[in-house]
Parts: sequence; C-alpha cells; structure tokens
Amino acid sequence: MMATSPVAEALFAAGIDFAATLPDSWIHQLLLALGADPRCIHVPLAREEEGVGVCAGAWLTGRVPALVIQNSGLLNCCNALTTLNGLYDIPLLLLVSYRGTMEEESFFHVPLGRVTEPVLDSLEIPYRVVTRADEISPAVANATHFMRTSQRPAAVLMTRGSLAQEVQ
Amino acid sequence: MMKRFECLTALAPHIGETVVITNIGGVAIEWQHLHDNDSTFYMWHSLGLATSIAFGMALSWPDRQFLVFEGDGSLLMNLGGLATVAEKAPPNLTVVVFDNQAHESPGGYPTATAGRANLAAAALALGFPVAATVETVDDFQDSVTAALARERLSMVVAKVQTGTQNVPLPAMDARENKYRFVRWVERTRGVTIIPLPGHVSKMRAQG
Repeated sequence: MMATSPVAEALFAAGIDFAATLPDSWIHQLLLALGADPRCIHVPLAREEEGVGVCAGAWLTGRVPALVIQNSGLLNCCNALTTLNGLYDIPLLLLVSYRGTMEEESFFHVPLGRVTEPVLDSLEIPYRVVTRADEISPAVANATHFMRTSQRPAAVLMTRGSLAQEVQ
Repeated sequence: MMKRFECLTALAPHIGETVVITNIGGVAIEWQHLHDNDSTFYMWHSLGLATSIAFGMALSWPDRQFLVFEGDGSLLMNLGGLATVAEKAPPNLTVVVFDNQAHESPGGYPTATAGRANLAAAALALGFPVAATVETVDDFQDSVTAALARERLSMVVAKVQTGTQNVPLPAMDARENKYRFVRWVERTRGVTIIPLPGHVSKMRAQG
C-alpha cells in the first residue's frame, strides 16, 4: 500500500511539486509518501546544503520546490540560503522538523532548539512555528504564497506535537 | 597544459540550444564573453552548488540539454552531491569540470587534485555511468560534444592550467541574470514562474 501523509497532502494542495529531502524520524512517513507520489519529483539528498542548489535549479525551470529536513540540516544550509537565495531572490519552502524545544526527549537535539529561530531571524527568513497538526496546511499555504509575492524563502517549523500522527 | 579559455572557445560553436550553468570565478567571465545568451545562468557565489543547480534544472525540464561548468575545488566541497545526481542519473545533464588543481580566485592555493585525488574516478565510483579525463583541446571538444549527443549522464574532467583570459567583465548583476533566465524559460516552456503583480494575488492557494 502506498504511504500516506497529511503533510504531503498539504504540500501538494499548496502547489509544491518538487521535494528535496533528508530524513528525520519525525518526518519518516512524510518522506515515504513524497517518494511514492507522482505529483512531485523527489530527490533524496546526501547533505542538506546541496538541496538548496537542487531546489533553486528546480524553481528556475518552473517547479515549486520544498526542502524537507530537520533543523540540524537547516543549519547546514546557511551559506547557500544567503549566497544563492539571498543574492538572486530565489524562493524555497523550508519544511523543517523542529527538534530541541521543551517537547524534546533526546538531549543531543537540545542545542538546536536554542539557535534555530535566531538563525532564521539572522537569515531574514520569515517562519511559522506550528504546534498542532491542523496548523500545518494553512502555514504551508501561506509560506508558498509568500514565496510568490516575495521571491524569497519561507520556513515552517513543525514541533513534535504537530507531527504526532507521523512520528514513528 | 591547455587553457580553459581554449577549451571554451573550441566548444562554444557546438553547444546549440544547450542550457549552460557556470561555476564561480574566471569560467563565468570567460564564458559570458564567448557565448552569453538568455539561457545562461551564472552562479556567482555558492561554491559547490553549480552541479546541484544544474541537476535540479535537468530533472525539472527533461527534454532540454543542460551543461554545467564545474571546478575541482567546488566539486570537492560537495562530492556527496555527485552521488545524489548519479542516483537519479538525468540523461540530459553533462558535467564539465575544469580541473586547474587550485582554488584560483583567492590566490591559487592547491586543491587535493594537485595531489592524489582523481575526480573522474570519484564520479564513476559514486555512480556516474560515464566519466573521463582529457588533456588536449581536441579531446575536450570531442568528449563534450559526444556527451551532449549521448543522452546519458556524463562527466568530462579537463586538466587545465590556472589563469583567466583578459576579457571584459560581465555587465549584468545576479538578479538581472535571474530575470532574464526565468523569462526565457517562461517563453520557451509556456509556464509562469514569476507572476506579474496583477496576477499574484489571484494565485493564492486554497488551504
């Protein structure tokens, strides 16, 4: 049976048709669904920063891309988001599992929780933190619309609570 | 050892409608002098990402040929990205690596290809179906034109000396290049990428 994910459906409903991804346990089901669905081109990455380039190429040739990663990978993307998206004004949806907040059970993710939002502020990338599953779809729709109005990246940070149905 | 500018000069008349993506540095300056057109994208500052950008384009537009001019320093920064490319193996992508064995722009500091690293061997090991190293201009032109005709993911590593030809600098900034490229894609594919102001509010997704 094909994997299903409400978050994947939210992406498709917002017009996302290209997804570059790297796994996190919270988004495992989402990545399986993206990989199995012909509504998007799915590119499994070796490292998140290359995905910023891959998604930029996809957007420049007519796709609406999302980079689906954990926030540790978001930190790997800072240079590319600045020197590529920031230099040219190239949009990108950053759909990020938000590890290290007070909901976090693993100690090694905690430093990520401290720095993620300040880093996005410094990169001048607007973001929404979603804490419930039903907030993901409108946040993704808003972020995707902002990509069109601004030609700039936008981020949706998904906490554990918002992904409760998807967490393994 | 041959010069990159000699290779580019020999290749320019033979690329037809191939879309070209250039790496940071002298290669962009030389290529814009030889063969600037609407379907050229100059990646000015994200070292390591030229091939990733070209790969995203090739996947998104399967009936066009894409050619990326890479460097040895930049490719070494993102070798994992070659595995990502090889896994999808878009047949419409050719990666040309100008291997001058140095980070030339910031002063010529040697890269690992000045020592033991072999980028064509690395590409084959990571899954590229075709990768070869060339050392003469004739071999370069034959290899790249064959790669463009082959319809198979290919890499050509050109061993070149350092140095950039003294040609006029580009008269276009990054955003101008983006708009020119995107408007060309829109005209050619019949798609909308950057909606005009009067249309953007109507495109709001239902959600």
